[in-house]
Amino acid sequence: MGLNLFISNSNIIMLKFFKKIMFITLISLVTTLVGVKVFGDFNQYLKTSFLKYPLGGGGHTYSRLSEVENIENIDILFLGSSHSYRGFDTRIFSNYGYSTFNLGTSSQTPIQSKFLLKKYIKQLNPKIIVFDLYHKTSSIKGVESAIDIISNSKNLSCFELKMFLEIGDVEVIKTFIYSFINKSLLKEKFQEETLKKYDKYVKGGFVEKSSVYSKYESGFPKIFENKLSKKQLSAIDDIINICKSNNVKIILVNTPLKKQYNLSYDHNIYFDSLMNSKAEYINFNTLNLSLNDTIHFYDKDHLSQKGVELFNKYFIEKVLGSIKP
Amino acid sequence: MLFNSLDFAIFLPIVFLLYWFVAQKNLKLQNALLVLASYVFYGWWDWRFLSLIIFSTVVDYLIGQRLRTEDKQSKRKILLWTSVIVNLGFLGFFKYYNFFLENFVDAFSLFGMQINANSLNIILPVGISFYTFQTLSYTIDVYRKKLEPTQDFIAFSAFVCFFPQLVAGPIERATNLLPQFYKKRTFEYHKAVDGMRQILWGLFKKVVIADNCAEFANQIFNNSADMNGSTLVLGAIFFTFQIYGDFSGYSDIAIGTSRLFGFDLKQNFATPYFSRDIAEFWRRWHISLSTWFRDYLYIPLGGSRGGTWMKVRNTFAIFLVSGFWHGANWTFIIWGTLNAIYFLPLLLTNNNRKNLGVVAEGKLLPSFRELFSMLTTFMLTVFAWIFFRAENVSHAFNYIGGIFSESVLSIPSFSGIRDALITLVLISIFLFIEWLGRNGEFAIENLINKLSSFYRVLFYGFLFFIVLLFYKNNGAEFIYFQF
Repeated sequence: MGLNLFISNSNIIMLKFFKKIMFITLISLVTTLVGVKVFGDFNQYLKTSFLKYPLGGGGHTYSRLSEVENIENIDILFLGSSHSYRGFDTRIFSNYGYSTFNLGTSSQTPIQSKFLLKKYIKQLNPKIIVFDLYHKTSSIKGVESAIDIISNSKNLSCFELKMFLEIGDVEVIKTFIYSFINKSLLKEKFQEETLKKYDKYVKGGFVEKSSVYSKYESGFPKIFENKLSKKQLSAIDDIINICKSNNVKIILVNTPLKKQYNLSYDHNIYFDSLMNSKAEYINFNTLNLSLNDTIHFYDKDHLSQKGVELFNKYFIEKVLGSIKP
Repeated sequence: MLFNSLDFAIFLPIVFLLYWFVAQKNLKLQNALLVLASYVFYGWWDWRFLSLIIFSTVVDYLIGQRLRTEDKQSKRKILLWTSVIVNLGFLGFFKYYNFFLENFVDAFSLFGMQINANSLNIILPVGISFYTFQTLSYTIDVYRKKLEPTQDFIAFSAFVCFFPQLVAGPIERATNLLPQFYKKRTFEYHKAVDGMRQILWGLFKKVVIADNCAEFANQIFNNSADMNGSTLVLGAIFFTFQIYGDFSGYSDIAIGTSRLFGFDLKQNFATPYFSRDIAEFWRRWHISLSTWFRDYLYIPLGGSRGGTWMKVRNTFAIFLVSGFWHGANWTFIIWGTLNAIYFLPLLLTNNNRKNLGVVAEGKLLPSFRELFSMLTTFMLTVFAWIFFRAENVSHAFNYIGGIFSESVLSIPSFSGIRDALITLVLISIFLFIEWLGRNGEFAIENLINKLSSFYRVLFYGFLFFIVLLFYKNNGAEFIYFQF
């Protein structure tokens, strides 16, 4: 009674309205959790694009993100897209006495690299970080890669949550909800095969492509400059700063591409000079590695195993030679 | 700012809270807040074009003031034409300059005369066709002495730029909307709840129906030369639902948002795809534009008074202008003409006002006759939409040529067929709900009240989930923004 003296009638009505909105929002959230779970399960069979959950999809992300949980104190950590996990063979580095882990994932953009680095830098304690910067990944939002990582992370943490908030895409939110229900609430069990068609997962995060596989590609039309994303460029800066504050040496690299394909890009010089201004940067497409487009590549931008061997040997001897930890 | 964006989801509650809590006791402050919010809303897209809206507002306000004191008919006419020329001048320049220039050059080249004329790289200001028509309605009504010119500049500015309907309508009449800015507005619970409901339904139409249909309509129309006949038919159907979901969804969100602020806007769509003839379709599709043309063009031209020839001429005039209003392309003119041709038999046989009520009123199902009429009208509309969607006239004719081929009997084939099947299921559910709620201002208006409060809340939750599930690309733009 006394309270009503201070609250006007319209405020009471407004309060009723807000209460209703809050209640409906709450019910909507519950409905969404249940709905996403039900639709997601059905979608394993329907295979529509409305809710993406590529658990155990291409690139062995699940195996890599599971294995990394048990790795500590390494010499070199590789980050980046498929160019990284298909380009740096951890076995070759091991033969030269380096303990390494390849944390590259499909289409990984600097935003994802940043969150993976933040999540694992203390645990892995690397001395050197080799960060693959394929300029295409610096021009995109990073939705596909975020979905890949969120679907294949064994345990979702605040890092994945922050990553999806930074990207701010509804596609990622849906996958996050579905993945959270499956992993954190229902303790989903999954075992990824080591050998998938032409791909073999190698301990340490590398994926070896069978020598049988080859994709013929030719005639690359001129690709005009993709606008580099401000968010991605800022993520590159963040990665460099994280390395600095942890006393870790960082090497930015652009792994080899087929010559003709590389030439189709019109902004290589701009990208190279931009990266050079940020940290030590090596574009291997500008160096003479004696790579042959037919023998050393299985498609336009991925090295064959023979190419990987040649490239890694070059990298270890010429780049790491002087800075062996 | 798009209604289906995160930006708007943050913007709307802020404006709402300021409007009802800070400015509640002062009408002028409420109106000023709406003006400011509307400018922010519009400027989010491109602040430079705010100057056009402000200029238009000032010109029409001043002309209104002069019309108040001017009794001499010749001078009143000059004032009216000043407003018409200024408003249509902007519209003409931004929307039609290049079209006329190119056609002028083409026409001369037919006679062997080569003219060097450079088209300009003109950006079309969002919503210019909508707010131009809205301000024109004010000057015309003041000129006709149907409306007292306002002396409240803030209220008039708010009327011109009211953000819920600024960029894609409904095109409000000054006689309906302007007086609402003079009255003290109190928060009404049921109105606000109804508004939220309509916003949710609008989002469903836009995000779930329109944006998903758009994916396939775009794919099929953009690659029509490689598609078989049945796929092309499906492409046209997808576009038919895309444009309806997109535009009526926008209108629902606009009307719903206005209700949150205590305003009532006119209904813009009334289940047009259940129309039994094309005349009924045009009474149910983009009602605010059709009635605008009726009141400010058709009737001044003589309307249906006079002889048959007058009726035919006036009908063609409004359909052609309506087509041209949509865009500076011959495809829109053909689309308008086609609708006029559809309309003609009804007009000549005096059957154009036969179906005024809701189809199968009070019944669950339509009769066979009604069903046949609805399907025929729907197919005619789908056919006309091909011209509306095509890039140019030859694209439209090639598309139609592709439909009328043997391959129309083959199975549709395009990428993402699983998603397309889900989309077709969603369209069916959407049509079912629209059918059940065809009596209301929007489909779920009356329908939802038949449910118990438990199921009602569950239905809202389900709608919210469906919108989230089918939401793509952080808010695709609305088609009518380009008009």
